[in-house]
Amino acid sequence: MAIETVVVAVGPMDAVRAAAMADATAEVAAPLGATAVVVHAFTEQEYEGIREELGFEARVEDVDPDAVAGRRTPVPELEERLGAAGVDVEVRGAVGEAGPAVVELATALDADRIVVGGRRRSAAGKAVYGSTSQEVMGSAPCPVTYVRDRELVE
Amino acid sequence: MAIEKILLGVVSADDDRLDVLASSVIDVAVPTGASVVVVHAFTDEEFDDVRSRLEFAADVDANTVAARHANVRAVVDRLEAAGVPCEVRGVVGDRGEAVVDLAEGIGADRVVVGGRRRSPAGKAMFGSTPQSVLLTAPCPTTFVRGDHGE
Repeated sequence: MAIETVVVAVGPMDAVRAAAMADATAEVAAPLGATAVVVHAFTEQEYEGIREELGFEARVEDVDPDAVAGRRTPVPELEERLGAAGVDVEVRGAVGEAGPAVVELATALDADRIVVGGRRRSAAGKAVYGSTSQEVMGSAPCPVTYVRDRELVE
Repeated sequence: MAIEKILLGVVSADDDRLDVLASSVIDVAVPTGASVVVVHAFTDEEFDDVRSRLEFAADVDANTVAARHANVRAVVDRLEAAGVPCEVRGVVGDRGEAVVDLAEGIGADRVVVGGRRRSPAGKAMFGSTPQSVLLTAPCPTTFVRGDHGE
């Protein structure tokens, strides 16, 4: 049961921890010769809000989700860091709510690992997961590695 | 950055997912050459119970009890069969905190824990021990459900 595909799921909130997520992915993918797939899911509404900024003309139904993902922060940074670590990288986008869309795509890709990131505090100041990470961990088809921000804790 | 030391945290509730926990660790430990520390975390009550069931003296240390625990032995057998160097530790008390303390103490590069979608009481997502480990571990933590793909 070798690890061949590692999905690393990111959204704009993960920009602050892109380096840590790239490291966590490369630490497994590089020695195993696995492919890293940087996955970014976005909703229709989100796309309409960022379409012009990203330089896309097409409406959401005609756009290539992979192309959108490729331009969305922090996807290019992940791609670059993983590439620099000698890992084969692909980028995949999906339209939909992040949690279910990531799980669906990871399932379709037959992912052996998923890397997610997060760190939030509830109103009471308690540490909680990001909602996407929580959904992915709860219904992923494979083990999920959670990368949290350490700076916020210490 | 390389993965040299993996801490596999096991609790009594993991007895139905030991295989998937062991194979998740083996999948990474074999190709990276990492060594593994298997830790069984006991609550105070559990520890007393297991200790007396295994007929150890009251002053036995937690590592010795953990090494005899069926969960630990099952996992260690799998790891050793795969050629993964491993050692066993036992910790007692607040299980999540104790696993995180050990991860810090040994300089773990990864922690692996098992869990379910929700705790049996429906309170903590994934069970309270994995939850506290995921949220406070000093390194990336891999969460392994026993029901992947079901």
